[in-house]
Amino acid sequence: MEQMNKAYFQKLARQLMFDVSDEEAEQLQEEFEILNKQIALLEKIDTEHTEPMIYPFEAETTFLREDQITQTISREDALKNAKAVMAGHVHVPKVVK
Amino acid sequence: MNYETVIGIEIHCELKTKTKMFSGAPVSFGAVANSCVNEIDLGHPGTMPCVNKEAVRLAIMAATALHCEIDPLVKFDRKNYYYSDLPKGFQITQQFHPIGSGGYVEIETDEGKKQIRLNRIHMEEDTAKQFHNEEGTLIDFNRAGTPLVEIVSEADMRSGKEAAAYVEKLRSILNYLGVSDVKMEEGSMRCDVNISLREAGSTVFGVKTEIKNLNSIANVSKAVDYEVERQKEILEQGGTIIQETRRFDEAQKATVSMRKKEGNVDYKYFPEPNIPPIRLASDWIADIQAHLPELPDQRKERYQSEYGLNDYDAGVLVNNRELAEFYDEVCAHTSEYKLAANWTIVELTAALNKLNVKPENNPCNPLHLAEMLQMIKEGTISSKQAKIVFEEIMQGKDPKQVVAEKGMKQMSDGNELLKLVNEVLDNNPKSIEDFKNGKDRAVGFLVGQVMKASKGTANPAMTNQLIKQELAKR
Repeated sequence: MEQMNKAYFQKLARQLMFDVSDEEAEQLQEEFEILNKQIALLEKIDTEHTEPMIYPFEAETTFLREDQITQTISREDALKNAKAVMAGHVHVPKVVK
Repeated sequence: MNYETVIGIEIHCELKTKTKMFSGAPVSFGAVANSCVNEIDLGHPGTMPCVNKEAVRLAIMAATALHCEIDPLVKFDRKNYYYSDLPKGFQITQQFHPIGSGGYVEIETDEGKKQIRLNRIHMEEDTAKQFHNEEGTLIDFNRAGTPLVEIVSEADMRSGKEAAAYVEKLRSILNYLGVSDVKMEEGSMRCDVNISLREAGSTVFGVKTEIKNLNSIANVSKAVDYEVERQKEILEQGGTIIQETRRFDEAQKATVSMRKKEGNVDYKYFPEPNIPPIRLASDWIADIQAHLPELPDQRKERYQSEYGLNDYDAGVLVNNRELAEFYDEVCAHTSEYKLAANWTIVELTAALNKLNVKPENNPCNPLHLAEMLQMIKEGTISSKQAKIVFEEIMQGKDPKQVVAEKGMKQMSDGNELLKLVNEVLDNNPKSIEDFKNGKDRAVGFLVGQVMKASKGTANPAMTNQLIKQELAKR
């Protein structure tokens, strides 16, 4: 496990392609220190014979949706949140060659 | 050194449903961009996926036809990656519990039948379609969330020919099942081929490359053949193969590098928390499995056993579902099965090519063709005349009407024909003499003369027989 220091959060931010200021990175470091302490408490619990859970309720379901058109949103709404739109398409910077 | 080629194929097929895998938005090819989407497809916060029953049904059909074992407990997982074709930041797929496991596809090779084993068939959602241009990338989310099945083979293929045969067979099976449009050129069936070489006799896999962008079966075989030669050349010069994704460039007829694969990408798979496991009713699965449509191999077998067709003719018909369905309709109206097969394979195909019409838009009425075949069989028209009648049938005309209008009836009246035969014999004493001197060719000449005198309406078989009969008397 890497040290959760300022440089670590700055590296993560770069990988996820957003900016993080020195101040924010420090704040993240402080918050994660608290979180880590809490997680350390959980680690003290004996889980030797406990199966891991994936879902809060382990009962199986049976429902499948019928293949009927129910909900479409307008093109205008679909594109509303896009920063840039070109010819009815969402326009983003190209990241492939 | 002797190399062995090792090929495994992954195929993605869009399922023919009305709505998406996890949302009630319509699935539509070629619709106006971003007009067939809703909040679930766009990954808006707070939306919940809901599994499409029809997609599961079609996946069960495909898995059954491919001899897979069905898992009645449907589970989905998240495949996490960050790319603009994926609005949620993850794709919902079945990494840990595919709906079908094992199974096989049987192909024909030069050495006979061969089973290509399958690893799995699983359900997932398609991504958005992207168009890259100079100014950036344009995204159309209509395709996002379209139900897909991914069919993963084992690395059992050994040549471009086998790879193409596998894709073709799989396409045919899925087409007969009606679970997918399987149009490689439109992308409703997409094929990724993994290729590596190894020393003959070795059991260790060599470094593989993956080829994408194969939009036809012919290109599968071309791309593999090219890639095998490329890898062989590198290995023979002592080089090493770089693990990478390549695409087939049609213009260059070559594979070109798209991107290097630096180690295995970690997709951080985990079970999809928004879809709890779904138990499928065993009687529902059994019902789907009991009502599968006729598959290509079964149909081929039926054509041979019921209609007496040979392996080749049965194969040609079955390879084209629309053509085979037309043939079945013709056979519902006539028992001239072999004649019907010949006319469907040769004349109909030629006529469709000439008209530049696809078999699914075939204008020929199967009843009309059956009636025409009956006329040939009964000697009402000759095969030569039938070709003219057939042209009119392709224009939508009734063969009875064509024969009547063109005064085409074949001369099959024994007395009338006998009179004509004797006239021809009287006019050709030299041929009679030739015949008596053992020149059998004379018969052919005389038949030709009768044909000419009857303006092509004489029944050739009867004419032949009458000439021989009358020659014997002279």
